[in-house]
Amino acid sequence: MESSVLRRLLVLLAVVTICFLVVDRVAGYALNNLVKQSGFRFSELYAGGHQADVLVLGNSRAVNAFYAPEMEKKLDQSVFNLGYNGMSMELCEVVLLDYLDHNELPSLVILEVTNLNVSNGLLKDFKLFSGMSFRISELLRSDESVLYNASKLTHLYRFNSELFLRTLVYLNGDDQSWINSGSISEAFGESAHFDDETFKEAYPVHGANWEALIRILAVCLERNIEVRLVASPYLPVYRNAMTEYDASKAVFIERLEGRAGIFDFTLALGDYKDFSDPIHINRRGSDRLLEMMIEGGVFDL
Amino acid sequence: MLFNSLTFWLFLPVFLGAYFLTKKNARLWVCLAGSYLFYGWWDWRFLGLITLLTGLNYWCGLKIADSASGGAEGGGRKHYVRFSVVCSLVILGFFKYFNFFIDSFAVVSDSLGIGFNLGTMSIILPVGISFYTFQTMSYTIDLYRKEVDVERSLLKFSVFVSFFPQLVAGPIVRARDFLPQLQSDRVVEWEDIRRGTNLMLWGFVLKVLMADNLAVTVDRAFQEPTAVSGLYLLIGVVFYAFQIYGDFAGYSLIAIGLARVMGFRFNVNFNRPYLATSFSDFWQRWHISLSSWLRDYLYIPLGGNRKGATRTKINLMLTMLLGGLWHGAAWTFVAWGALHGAYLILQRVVSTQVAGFLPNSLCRFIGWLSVFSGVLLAWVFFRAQGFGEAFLVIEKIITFDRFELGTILRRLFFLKGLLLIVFVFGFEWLSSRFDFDELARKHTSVNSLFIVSVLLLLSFWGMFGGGAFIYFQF
Repeated sequence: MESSVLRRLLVLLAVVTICFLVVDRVAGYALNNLVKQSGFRFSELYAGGHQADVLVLGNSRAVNAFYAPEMEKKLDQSVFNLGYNGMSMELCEVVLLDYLDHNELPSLVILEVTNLNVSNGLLKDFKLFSGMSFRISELLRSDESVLYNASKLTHLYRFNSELFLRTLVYLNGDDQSWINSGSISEAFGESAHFDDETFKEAYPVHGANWEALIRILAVCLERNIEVRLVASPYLPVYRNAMTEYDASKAVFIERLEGRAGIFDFTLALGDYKDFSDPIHINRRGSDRLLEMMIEGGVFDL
Repeated sequence: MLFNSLTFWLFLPVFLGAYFLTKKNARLWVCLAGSYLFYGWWDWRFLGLITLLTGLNYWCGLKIADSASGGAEGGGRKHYVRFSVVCSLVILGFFKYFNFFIDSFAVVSDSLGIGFNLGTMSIILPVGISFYTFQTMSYTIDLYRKEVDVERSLLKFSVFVSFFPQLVAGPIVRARDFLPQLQSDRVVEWEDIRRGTNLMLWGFVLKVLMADNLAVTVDRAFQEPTAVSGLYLLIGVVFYAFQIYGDFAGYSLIAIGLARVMGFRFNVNFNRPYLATSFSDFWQRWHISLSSWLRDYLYIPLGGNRKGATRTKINLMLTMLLGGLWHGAAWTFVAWGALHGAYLILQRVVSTQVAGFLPNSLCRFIGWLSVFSGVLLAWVFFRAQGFGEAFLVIEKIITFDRFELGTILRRLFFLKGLLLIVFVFGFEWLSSRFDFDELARKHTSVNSLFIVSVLLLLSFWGMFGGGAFIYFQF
């Protein structure tokens, strides 16, 4: 390559790099502000100033089992559902601690506890909040170092996720009324068959998620926040395929050493109309579950 | 190694540095080492296969040339070219089609009540084998036809076969286009770097931005065709048409652009195929290097259109059937080829009947609509895992079992995909009307703006999961 070509190439590279970084940072800053203005659950969390009596955490099962608008009506308390599809217990810890940093302390935390088997896959999408949360940034650095470095190199990359698209959807309203409305057919329910290969350990008492749960209980105890561990309903045919469920739960309760118990509703609902799929209840199911939770004393402080 | 992987982006600067710092044979050695590293990264054992095909065709090439100069016109040359083609096809046939033919034979024998089962073997399909086999075959055939000069340097011939930018997914580069470019050091000018970089960047837009985003919707449609509605499946098929275009045209552009940065010039492989107004027009725009290969080495040798109307139709069908089979060892690919063969035959019949009856613009619109619909139907077979799935998809689309537009519109990846299709094709349509490249060539600021915009777009919406290129499997 001739030196004149090389010189021209270096100039182009410098110009492109500078322009890219300037536009990237400015656009990143603008989008960050946009994210904070959204009514999406995590946007509200990081915008701060939220005041909820009851805080809900967990994965998609928590999203669909605890319908905040109905809970507010029945309990006469403010409820904020911070559950999200694919959220692991480790991410629940990060979200809870960030919530406590930016918002008023809740009096009760409902923790849907069947996510102890969930991986940190959602973390890739949570890079959206890595500029707002040092905890997410640190978790990203340890679990997804390539993503971490990429999101440092280009701030726009943080917004390259489904979570960002969701923040745009909820720019003009909150997402607390988001719940499955459809139900599975009777034919599906009757023909469904599951094997128990994937359910050997419903409540693992080891690994990062277990350790995160123990830390969550400790933090809540320290700050005088009540915690309820709740296991929401499965379609009975699905739940019954978990042949080692009871054994796993017994070990789990034993290892909790009295720090908390489980409100187990996994077999509480049996009507197909209450389920949108074998592991998620729907709006109808969540109403029925709420009544059972009230009767079962979940909200008694 | 994938173009959209981190490994490749670590490899590329090191390779280009070594490439530009060396000259003559040393530069060719760098090319060869880089290409073998690129290919061997996937599975080093198959380097032996490339070496074997290189050695075989190099030797046959020398023999064909020496037979000609020795005056043994016909006989000796013919034997060597036959030997080269048969060996290449046997290797391709073993790795790609062995189990397919064994399975098909078992099905036929079962249906005849013979029950003759030979048993299949566990054979790994070497990445890009269909591409580099066709490339080496074209060399010996062209040499036999005296359309290309013999290459006596094993080093140059090895670079021709294994050149990494287009090794695993094309375009299929002919010896007469590439070998002359290896005879002297390429002088890389500013225009090569500018144009090459822009082509690569647009290739990444097609692949990482459009194709991989569309894949989310397409995969869902074809993974659970029973669970989704007919409308969703129709959207899935339309998205797949654009996904496979973005995926394959994207790879081709990255390959052509990368070669251009190194000073080599390859022909375009895609030319806005979905704007085609006839099926023959489509095949002059889609995977041009394959369609011209099939034309030159199959259709024309079969007689082309020189032996009457019926024979032309048979030749067209045979060419497209084999073109389908080239893509993959499954009957669904054969069906895809058969459909395209039928379209080409139908076009020959219909176009002569309607020519002159309709105004030109209407004719073109009807032609475009027919081509796009026909191509969509064929893609169903190309994408489906089997005939059962293909017919289920078609049935659900035709019967329109559920109308759930509202649900689909709420799917964020659907809206994102739609927006990306409009953006990419809007830009391609505009660039067909207005010479952006000329503007970028004259004004560095415009070129810089293009690069920065593409990089920002890729950061913001690109899919970096390292999604493999669809054509790798072929």
